[in-house]
Amino acid sequence: MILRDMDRKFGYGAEGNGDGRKRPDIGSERYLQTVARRFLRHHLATVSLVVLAVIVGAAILAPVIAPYDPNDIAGPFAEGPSKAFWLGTDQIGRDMLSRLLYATRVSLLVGVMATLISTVVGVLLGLVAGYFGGAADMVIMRFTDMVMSFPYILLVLVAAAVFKPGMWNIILILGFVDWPGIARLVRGNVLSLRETNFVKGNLVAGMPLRHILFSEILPNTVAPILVYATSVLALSILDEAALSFLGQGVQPPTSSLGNMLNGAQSLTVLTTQPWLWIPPGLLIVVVVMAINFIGDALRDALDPNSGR
Amino acid sequence: MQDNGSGWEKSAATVWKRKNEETGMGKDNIPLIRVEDMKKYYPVKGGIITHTTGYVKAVDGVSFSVMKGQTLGLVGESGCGKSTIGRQLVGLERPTDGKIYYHGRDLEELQKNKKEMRAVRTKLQMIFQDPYSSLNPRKHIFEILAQPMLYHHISEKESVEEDMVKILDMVGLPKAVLGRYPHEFSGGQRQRIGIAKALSLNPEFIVCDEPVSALDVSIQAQILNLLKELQKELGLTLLFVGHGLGAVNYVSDKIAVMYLGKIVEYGDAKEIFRSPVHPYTKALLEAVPIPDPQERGRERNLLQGEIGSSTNPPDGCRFHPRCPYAVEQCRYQPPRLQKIGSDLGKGQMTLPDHEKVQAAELDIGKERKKDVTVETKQAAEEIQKAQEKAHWAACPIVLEDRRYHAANLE
Repeated sequence: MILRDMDRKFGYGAEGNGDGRKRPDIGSERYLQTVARRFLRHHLATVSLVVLAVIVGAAILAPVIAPYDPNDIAGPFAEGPSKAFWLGTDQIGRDMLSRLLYATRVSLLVGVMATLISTVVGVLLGLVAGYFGGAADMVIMRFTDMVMSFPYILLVLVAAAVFKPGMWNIILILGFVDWPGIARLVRGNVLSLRETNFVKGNLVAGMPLRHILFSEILPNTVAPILVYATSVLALSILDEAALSFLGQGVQPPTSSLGNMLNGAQSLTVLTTQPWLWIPPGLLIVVVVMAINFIGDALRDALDPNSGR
Repeated sequence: MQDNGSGWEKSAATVWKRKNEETGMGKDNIPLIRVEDMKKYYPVKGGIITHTTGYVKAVDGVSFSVMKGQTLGLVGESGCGKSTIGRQLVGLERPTDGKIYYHGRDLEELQKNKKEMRAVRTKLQMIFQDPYSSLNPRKHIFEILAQPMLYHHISEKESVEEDMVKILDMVGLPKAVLGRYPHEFSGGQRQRIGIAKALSLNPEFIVCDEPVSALDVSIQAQILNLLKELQKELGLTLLFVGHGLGAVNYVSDKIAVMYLGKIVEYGDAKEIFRSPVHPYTKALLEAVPIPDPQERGRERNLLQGEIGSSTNPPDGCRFHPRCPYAVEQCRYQPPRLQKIGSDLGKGQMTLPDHEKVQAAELDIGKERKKDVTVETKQAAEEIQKAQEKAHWAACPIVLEDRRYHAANLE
């Protein structure tokens, strides 16, 4: 309430909704506006955002817009693109377009969930290690080094041998191998933020630990975390594709961008049936590139010190 | 930013004053803050297997007290431990040894009780040196100021904006700053916000850690004036840490000069400026540039050499490697503290060792005798004093300024 009143009085956020809904933060809107303005200056990133939005939208709406059931044998075997089957059919006659839509859904879900898990784990461990230092830092960072030095393909193979390979296992495994980078990043940031005067000022003011960690320190590391997370997202999608390509990832009949490429392991497919591997391959490239461009633009847009 | 600090309303000031009276604080003659033999040693790690190889003795046995409403200025070179003292007073660090008393109560004891600690925390505040890093760049001023006030229930949701506007008024800022981010302000404005943040918790004691050394000279004067005014109006007690003697002298009632973790001279600000006694203080004053072209050719006794290492401070008198008057004895004989000047209240004196200081009120003429007669409990001490006496006799400065004899301070 106060915050909104203040907005009105000081002439900020004049567009504030008058329906009495409480806004979480009067600054967020202005700040986000600045970020958006700076982001939009990166044309490549803006285009990427649109492309990604279309792809994500298509993936989410897959059940609605897919012309066929992705697992139904709907037409002739391994037929090229036609009016009925825009991207052709695979070796057992399933519609490629429908499979591609569902595959994107799975791949994006794996990427997002794995990124989410690794970000949460990495941020928490990094905060603790950086802020408390000493023994906690020692233990956490050595554990981080250990995880970082795991060859993850082996880890996945072992995990696949122990558990059933499948989408959720892939998510957990990718989530587990990707957090150390974030933990290190956060720790490094916390180490320097811990010494800043505004953190000390709040300690002097007797503010509780949760306020210091989550309200003072964390918001100042959000930008690098977000940027890093975009690259983790891109990497997770690539990793999922690689693992599924090797047959250790998402298991058929569920389609993912990786296991759709599986067919391209055969030379015949590679040379004579390009519609089976070019669309999923291209989609991976486009998605990963778009995410990386967005990450780049975010890094510039989120920097609080570039006062433009 | 014009300085309209003088135009603030009386009513705003009385809000906090009344609150202080309600809590029954600050009515006695006990010093608001008393520090007794404070030490802060930082371990130095090294070796093949990491272990403590030594200590940086940042603060090595410092005692002083600050009466309510007074300002104590703490001066010294970089690295002499003056900021460390400030950080310990506001609880950012814990002293390795020694006690801090707040209203005569041991701060360490107070902190064991969570509720009391929270109350005390708000009473001891700090203003930082660098106004560019003392405000969270992600928050607008409203959040920066309101969050601690709300957390400590100094203000409630309904009244917080009103209270903040009052405080901003005290530091000479319009209420429109509330919706802005720190990067939108200049250094002087940020420092005002920093002061507002410290004031917002209704403190009694504020550590000003070189609050003006990062600012333009013109702004420095504004901020110093603001601090003085606020102190007068709110009855604040300040510890003003700084290395600019001019600024420190301007705001301080008492000054303590520090060298390598120890106070070497303590006394009334005016007195210290008029007649510094310790050779280090003299050198500090000599080092202050005089803005007068006629004085360009004046001779200045500037100190030679670097400040000693606080990991391995010099034996004997810590100042002896740089002291122009040092004699052989200074190498191994730490000088004793002395109180000098005829008027106890106004005279210059050093404090650290309370027991010894009590007895040492002196008349310069009789002082040599006193030196021997006071505190003669142990024979060993007598011998030590005899040695000192010999030292004083040999100390060249005695010839030209007999008070130095008395003031070769620890």
